[in-house]
Amino acid sequence: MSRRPLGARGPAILLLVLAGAWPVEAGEPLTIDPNHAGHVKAGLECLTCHEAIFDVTSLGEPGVFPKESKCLGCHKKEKDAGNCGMCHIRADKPGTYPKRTQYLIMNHAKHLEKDDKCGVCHLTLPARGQMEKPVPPMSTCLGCHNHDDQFKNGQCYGCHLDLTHFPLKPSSFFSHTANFTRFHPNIARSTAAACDTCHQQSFCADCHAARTRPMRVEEIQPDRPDRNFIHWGDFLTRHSIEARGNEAACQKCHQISFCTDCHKKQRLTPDSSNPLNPHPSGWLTTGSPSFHGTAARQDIVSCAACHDQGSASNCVTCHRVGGPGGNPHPQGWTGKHPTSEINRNTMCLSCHP
Amino acid sequence: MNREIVGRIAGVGSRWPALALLSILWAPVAAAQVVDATSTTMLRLKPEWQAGDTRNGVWGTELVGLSVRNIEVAGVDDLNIQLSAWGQLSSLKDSIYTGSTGDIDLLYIQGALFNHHLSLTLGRQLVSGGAARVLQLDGVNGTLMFSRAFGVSAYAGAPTTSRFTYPVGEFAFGGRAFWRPSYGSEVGVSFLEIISGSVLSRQDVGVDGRWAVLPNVSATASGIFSIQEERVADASVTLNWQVLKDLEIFGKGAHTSPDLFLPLTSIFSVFADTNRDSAGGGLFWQITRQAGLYLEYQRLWVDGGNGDEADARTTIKLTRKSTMGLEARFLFVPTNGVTDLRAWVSHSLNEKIRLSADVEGTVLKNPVNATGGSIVGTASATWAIGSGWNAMLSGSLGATPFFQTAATLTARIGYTFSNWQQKGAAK
Repeated sequence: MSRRPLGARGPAILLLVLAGAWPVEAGEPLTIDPNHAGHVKAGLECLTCHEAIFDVTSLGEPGVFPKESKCLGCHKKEKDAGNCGMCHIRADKPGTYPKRTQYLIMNHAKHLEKDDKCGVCHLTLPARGQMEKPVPPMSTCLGCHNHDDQFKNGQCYGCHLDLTHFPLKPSSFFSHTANFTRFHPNIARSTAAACDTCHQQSFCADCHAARTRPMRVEEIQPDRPDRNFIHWGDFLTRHSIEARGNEAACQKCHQISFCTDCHKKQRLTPDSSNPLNPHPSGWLTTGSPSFHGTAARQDIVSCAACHDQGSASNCVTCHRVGGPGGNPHPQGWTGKHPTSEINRNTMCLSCHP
Repeated sequence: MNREIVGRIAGVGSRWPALALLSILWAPVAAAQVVDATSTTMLRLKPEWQAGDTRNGVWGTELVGLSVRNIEVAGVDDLNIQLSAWGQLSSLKDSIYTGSTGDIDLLYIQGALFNHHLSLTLGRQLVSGGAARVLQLDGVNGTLMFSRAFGVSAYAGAPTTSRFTYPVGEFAFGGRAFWRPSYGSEVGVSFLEIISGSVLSRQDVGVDGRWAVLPNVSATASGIFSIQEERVADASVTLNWQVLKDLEIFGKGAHTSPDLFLPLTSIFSVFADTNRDSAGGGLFWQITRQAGLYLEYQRLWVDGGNGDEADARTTIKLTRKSTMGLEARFLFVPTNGVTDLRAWVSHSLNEKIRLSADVEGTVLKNPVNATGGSIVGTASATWAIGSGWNAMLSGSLGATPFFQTAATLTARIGYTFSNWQQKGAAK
C-alpha cells in the first residue's frame, strides 16, 4: 500500500465538510465498555486481547471481540467479587457483545498482513462512557486506497454496504426520513447519479415500470405499512379527488388510456356497451352551473379519462368546424398554431376536414 | 438458478427480440464476479368491481430479477447486466385488472469505457433526470464525462410499448448537460422529444438543480417548458433548512399545466390550458430517538377554485422490536375533499418472524354510491425462512363505496441468491 498525499482527497474533504463528522457508528446499544486507556497504560498491546482479528475477513463476523475467558485471564478476581460493572454497562444484567450489522466491507486479516500496527487506522481509542465509539475516519482509508474514480462516479457500494449509518448533513439531502417518497422526484431529477450509489434500476422499476408492470407495489409488499407508498389502502375511493388535486401527478406515470380502459369496463365511457351517464343534470345546457364546457376548461384531463377515443371521441361530433359546439380552443390558440399545422396532424383533421 | 429463471421468462410470451438479447448477454455470466438473483412467487385472491357487480378472482404472479455485476472484460469497467421480468395467470377472463400475461420491465447491459469517461446502457431501461423524468425506453443511453464535474448524457429509442395502454410515441430522444461539482449537488439543462405517428407528441426543455447552499441548507428546483405550447409544463422549488440536529423545516412551491401532460396528439390537448399552483411548507422533527413527527401544509390554486392539502405523520419506535405510525391526510379541492386516517404497527417476534398491521379510514366530502367513506384493515406475517428464502401471508378486510365489503388474501414466497458479500469481502 502506498501513502497518498492529503491533496488527493479533495472530493472526500468536500463531503466531510457536508458531513460535519465522519463517520459515527449507530445501532444496538453497547453492553460492554472496557477501559482501553487503562489497558494501554498497563503496557498491553492491542493484539493481546484482539488476536482473533488476524483471521477476521469481514466486519460483523463473530469472534472479533475477546471472549470472557480472555478477560478473566487477568480479571478473575473482579468477577468473583461480583464487580460486573467493571466491564458490563448493566451490572445487574450483564450481556454479551451486541450483534452488529455489517455496513462496510473491511478485511482486517488482509490489512494486518501489510501492517500489524492498529494505530495506522484506529487513530483514537474508545473511551469509557462514550456511547458512540470512534471508528477510523474515511480519510484514513483514502490515505492508502485511491478511490477517486469511484468517488466521482458515486460508486460507494464497493466498500459501503449501507450508507444510512453515516449522518450526513443536511439530513434531507441524503437520508430518506420524513416524506421522502413524495419528495424524491425532484431530488432524482437532478441527482439521479446519487441515487445510483445505492439503488439499481430494478429498485426504481418496482414503482416506475408502470407501463410494463400492472401490479401496484402496495400489492407486492402489503407487509410494509411503514413505507409511504402512494396508492396505499383504498386508493380507488380516493382516486378521483387525488386526480383533481394534482392531475399532472397521475399523468406522470399513467397514460390517459390507463384511465379510459378501466372506465370503459365500468361502462362510464361513451364507447362502452350500455354506457352509464356519470354527469350531473345541466351538463349539456349552456349557462347551467354544471355546463360541461366550464368543467372542461377547468379539468380537461378528467374529460380525457373517459372520452379520449381520438377522432371517434364524441366531442368531435359537436366541436367540429360547422358543428353546433363552436370553437373549443383556448384563447391565444391561433397565435401559436397556424392553419398550416392542420395538414400535418391527423388529430386536427378530425375537426378541420 | 440462472437456467431456472430463463425458463420462466421464456414462458411469458413472444418476447423474442428481448430473449435473443438475453441469450447473447448470457455468456459473460459464467465469468461474472457478483451475481444477485431473486424470485418472487405470489398468489392473490381479491375481488374486482365492474359496473356494480363484484366477483372474486385468483392471480398467480412470478417476478424474477437478475443482477450480474463486475463482469471482467478488457477495456470495459463496471460491466453489468440487469433483468427484471414477470409473468401472471388469472382465473378471471376480461378482468378489470391485468389478466394472464407477462412482460420484461428491464433488460439492459451497462458498462463504462475510457477510464469511466463514457458510460453506456443498452436495452430496456429507465432513463431518469431532467425533462425525461422517468422514461422507460428500449434504446441506448450514454453519458460522457468531459471532466470530473461536467458531462453530457444522451438517449434515443422507442418508449416502451405498454401492454396495457397505447404507446405515447414510437420514438424518443433527448439529452442532458450537467455540472456536478460535489456529490449530491448538481445542475442541468435537458431536452426531450417524443414522436408519435411522425407528429410531435412531446417536445420539452428543462432546467434542474440541487444544491447544498450551506452545510445545513439545501435547495432543489426544476422546470420543464413545452416548446410547442410555449408554456411552463412543470416547475417546482423546495428549500430545506436543518435548523437543529433533529429539526428540519422546508418551504416549497410548484406550478403545473396539467393539459401539457396529455400527449400533443390527444384530441383533448386543444380544449383548455389549465393551471395548478401550490405553495406551502412543513417540518420534520425527530422529537426523541424513538419518535419522529412530520407535518406539511400546502395551499392549492387550481382552475375552478382553491384547495388545501395537509399531511401529519408520526412514527414511534415502541420497543426495539416494535414500531407504530399514525398518519392523517387532508385534501380539499373545489367541490370535493377527502380525509384519510391511518394507523400501522410492525412487530418482530424474533429475528425471523415479523408481524404487521394497518387500518385506514377514509371520509369523503361527497359520498360515492351513497357511501360517505371506507375502512380497510390489513394484517401480515413475514417469515425469513433462511438460506435466502422468505415467505409472507397477508389478508385484508374492509368496506368501501365500491365493494361494500372486500376481502383479499395474498401469499408470497421469495428466494434471493447473492454472492455479493463473499466476493466483496475477498476484495
